[in-house]
Amino acid sequence: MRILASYNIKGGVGKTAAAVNLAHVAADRGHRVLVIDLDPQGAASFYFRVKPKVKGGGKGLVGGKRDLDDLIKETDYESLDLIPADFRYRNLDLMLEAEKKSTSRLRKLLRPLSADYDVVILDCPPSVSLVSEAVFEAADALVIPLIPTTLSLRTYEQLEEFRMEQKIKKLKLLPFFSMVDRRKALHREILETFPKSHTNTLGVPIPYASAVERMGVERQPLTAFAPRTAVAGAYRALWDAVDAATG
Amino acid sequence: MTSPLFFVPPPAWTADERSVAAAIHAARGDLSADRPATRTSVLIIRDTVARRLARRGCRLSSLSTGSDRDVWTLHRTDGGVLATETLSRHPAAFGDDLPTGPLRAHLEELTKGRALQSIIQIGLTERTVALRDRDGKIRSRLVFTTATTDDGATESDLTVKPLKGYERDTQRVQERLADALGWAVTETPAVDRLLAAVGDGSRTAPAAENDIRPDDPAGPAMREILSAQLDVMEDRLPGVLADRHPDYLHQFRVAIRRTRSALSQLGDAIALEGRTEAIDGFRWLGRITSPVRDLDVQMMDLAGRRKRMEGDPHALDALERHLAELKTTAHRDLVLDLSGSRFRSLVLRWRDTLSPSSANWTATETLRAPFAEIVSARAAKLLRKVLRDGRKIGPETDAEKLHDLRKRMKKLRYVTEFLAEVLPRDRSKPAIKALKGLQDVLGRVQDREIQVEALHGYGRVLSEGGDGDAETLMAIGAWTEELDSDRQAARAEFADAFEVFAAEQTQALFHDIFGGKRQLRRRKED
Repeated sequence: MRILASYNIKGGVGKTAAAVNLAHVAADRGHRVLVIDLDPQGAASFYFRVKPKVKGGGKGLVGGKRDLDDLIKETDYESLDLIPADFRYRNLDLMLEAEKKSTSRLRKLLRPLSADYDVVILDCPPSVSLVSEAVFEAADALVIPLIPTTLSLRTYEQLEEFRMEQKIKKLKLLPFFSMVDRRKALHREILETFPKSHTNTLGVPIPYASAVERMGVERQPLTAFAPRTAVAGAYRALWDAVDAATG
Repeated sequence: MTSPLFFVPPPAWTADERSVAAAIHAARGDLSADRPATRTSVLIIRDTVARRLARRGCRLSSLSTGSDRDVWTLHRTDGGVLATETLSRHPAAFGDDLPTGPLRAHLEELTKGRALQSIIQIGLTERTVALRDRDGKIRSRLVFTTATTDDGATESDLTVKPLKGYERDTQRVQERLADALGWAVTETPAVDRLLAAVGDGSRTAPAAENDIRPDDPAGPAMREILSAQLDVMEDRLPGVLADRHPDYLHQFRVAIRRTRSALSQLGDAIALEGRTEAIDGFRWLGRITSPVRDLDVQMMDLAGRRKRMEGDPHALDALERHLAELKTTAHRDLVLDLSGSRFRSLVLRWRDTLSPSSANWTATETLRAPFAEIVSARAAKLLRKVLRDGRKIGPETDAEKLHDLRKRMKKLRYVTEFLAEVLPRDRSKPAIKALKGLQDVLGRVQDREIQVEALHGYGRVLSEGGDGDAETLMAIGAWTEELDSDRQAARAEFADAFEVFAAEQTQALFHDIFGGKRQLRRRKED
């Protein structure tokens, strides 16, 4: 079972769109996929039309009193399930802090799922916290959407430093460019230069597209309601790149 | 999740729009219903000709839904999925045609190299209706299924397909359906009910286990065994005539050989009337079926050679075409013979001889003696001859002596297999395995020699006919070298193989089953 996390410290960069669309493509390719919506905003749950409510809230998730299996909801898409978010996850840090060995808690919870799932995708909140540390310990790879701007790259460098300091060598960092506007010279320049110094960059940029914003209206993965668009094709190619880098 | 329930409509109900709409209306409550989405598919139940899977409590199915890939599933018939895999459309003829994985591993073990056939084909029509909540989320699905066989037998049902995490919704929909429709409810889906009604091959195929006991009179016991062989021949005949698959002819010929063995090895002991005529008839059958079988084996060997050879496997294309032409002619001749009066009257007369009311089978004291006693005595005698002949064979012994030993071993094997019909499998299996071990070595010595000779002949024909270019002849030459090398290896292995066979430990297996009266009275149920 591969555990992937869609993660960035910054918000609004396309984490949830990536998590939801990559999950849909992976399921379509024949993998058994589980999305876990860890963001109290519950955007992934919203896209899948699943009510953002988990019995017991954050304690229900990490407290160990409930089997994760009891929290799983089947989505409308074959081989694609979801553990929805809950607004009470805003206190997840506190709940984890109360647990022994807090950062390894999530990894332990996910382990029994390997019998039923090939891929788990964690949609993470934009933060640096105990939750993100728990994610780093549990995941095999972070899929990191980056808008090609200077500030965005800076946050990536901070993440790389954090990984080195914490010595989480097994954790792969897979940055990719999101919301790319090729009309902008800065975007074009960064798309060309960044991968030269960061060879782990996935070579599939996701273009800025209104279709992505329509996900909130359609409440479906973009790859489901607009499969023939260029951006849907880009997400499919992105999954293939993630699959190759982690398979 | 709990087991799904299937609502069985009354016989007069049809899945027309109005009826379906009424059922949906009854089911949905405050959920909204999508328009039905219809999917048609074909479910094929596959098994070996002798129904090895069904007899071992398994069912193999492939589901085609219109794409170029089918879903293959191996179930246990008492529930549970052993393996499932999505495969490309070309049907696998053998377990080892499948890609490596749990499905292939299971099938190789269960089928032991036997070919897989389509046993029953079922057309499935599924109309699915998604039921959604106010957010548009699917909470439940209704599935109307109709399953129909080629000859028109049909079963239908309606089920509520549960969604993980929405079990309460499923329960509510089921309750509404139960209240509104008043249909019968079962846990068995339409496909399983249809298979139970038409038969899925799980009834024992001919030549399966019988009820003979060791102490049963020899005559009626032999009659039952020989009847089973004739049943097998009649069952496989259509497949032989249609050239459906080599396995049909192979099983047809095994039944012929077992019949001939019984007639020649045991027929004199039971003084069967019309024995000589029957022996001649079945010898003729063996002869007329040989050419096609030999060509089938050569073509299967050629396929195996292609996978192993270095160089261009297409170098053997000309040989394959030649074999295919020979096979077409040979098969045409075989069909003529099997459609002719000689075969028909042989079967009719033999069936008459095998009639339970015939006095043939209980007329003498020997016929009334215990079956196992008669067969064991004959088997023990053959075993002594095999040991005597085998001990005389040294490194310089002429190949002809090994061929003679092989023939004698075949007779011993068939007689042992007759005895195995009345013994528990765990007693007879080790002895038969020991026989097979030595037979395999002897087989390689003789078969490779015949194959080399045949290939030389084909090479000459192709060369003289202008169809064999240098590449073809070189490929044939390389193949004959491989075969000859294996023949020599087998010849060298014979001494050790015979030593193992003749060893006290191995012989004890035969003494156990050919042994004294006390042992022979042990029943199958032990």
